[in-house]
Amino acid sequence: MAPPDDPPADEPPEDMEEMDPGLARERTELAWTRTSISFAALGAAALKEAPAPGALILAMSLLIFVLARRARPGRRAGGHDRRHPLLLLVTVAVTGISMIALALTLFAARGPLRPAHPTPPGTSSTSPWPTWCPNSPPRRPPTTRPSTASA
Amino acid sequence: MIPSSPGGTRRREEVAAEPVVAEPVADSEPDARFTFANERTFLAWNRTALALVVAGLAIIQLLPPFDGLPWGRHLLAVPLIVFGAVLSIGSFLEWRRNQRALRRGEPLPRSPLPRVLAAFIAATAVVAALLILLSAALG
Repeated sequence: MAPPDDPPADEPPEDMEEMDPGLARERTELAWTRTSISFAALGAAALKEAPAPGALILAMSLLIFVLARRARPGRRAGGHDRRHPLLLLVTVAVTGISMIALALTLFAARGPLRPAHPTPPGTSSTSPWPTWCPNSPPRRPPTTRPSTASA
Repeated sequence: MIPSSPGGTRRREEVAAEPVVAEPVADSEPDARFTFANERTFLAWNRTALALVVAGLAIIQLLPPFDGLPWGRHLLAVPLIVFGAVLSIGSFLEWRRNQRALRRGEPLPRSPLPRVLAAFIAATAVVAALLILLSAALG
């Protein structure tokens, strides 16, 4: 085992200003970008059915992206103390989204693709869905057009 | 025991080869690579938590009800959403614990999150399979 004051030649230097630590900083910035994109995707998906929570999640994704860019540590070791509130913000955001989703699941159970009428035509007694296509609304009878035959 | 470097940083090989530190050391700024890796792990856990929440919402919103089992979708979705919140909080506690260990030069504590997540996903898959079979039998 090598003594601690005699590192091998291929070891990176100890001074963080003189080396790029395995592109760790760039990889971490990309991870933050992926996380904010995940928030944005969820917000965009929720925007159609629940505009207020969707817009809130979209704003949260933008906030996380901007704060992560602003609070990124520099090359000097020691800039990581500013990350603690940012990570706490992410935790609070994910937990809040979970609570909203739980409330929607428990108290607003009717989904957008479920039919408004519990037993539409062509539906069996046990299932509210038509037997011919589970996710489609019931078909209307074909409308008859007046004949426009010329003489 | 391998002493820490003057800056308080320890190389990866040293940490792996020496898992036990006998005497406590004072807090110091850890190697930036380890701090970044800890932060990336936290972010990955939170993306997993978001995926669980989205899966729970998708089950409620997109899946047709199980025949004869009107509570089946809730049985799948509610644990997924709740576990998403638990995973997010757990990942923050894990990040803080790892950061403290890095600052003190101690060995990193073992994380229970991967085992818990694997067990939860397996249980969810089993419940989903049972619901499908029951629905087919009742319908």
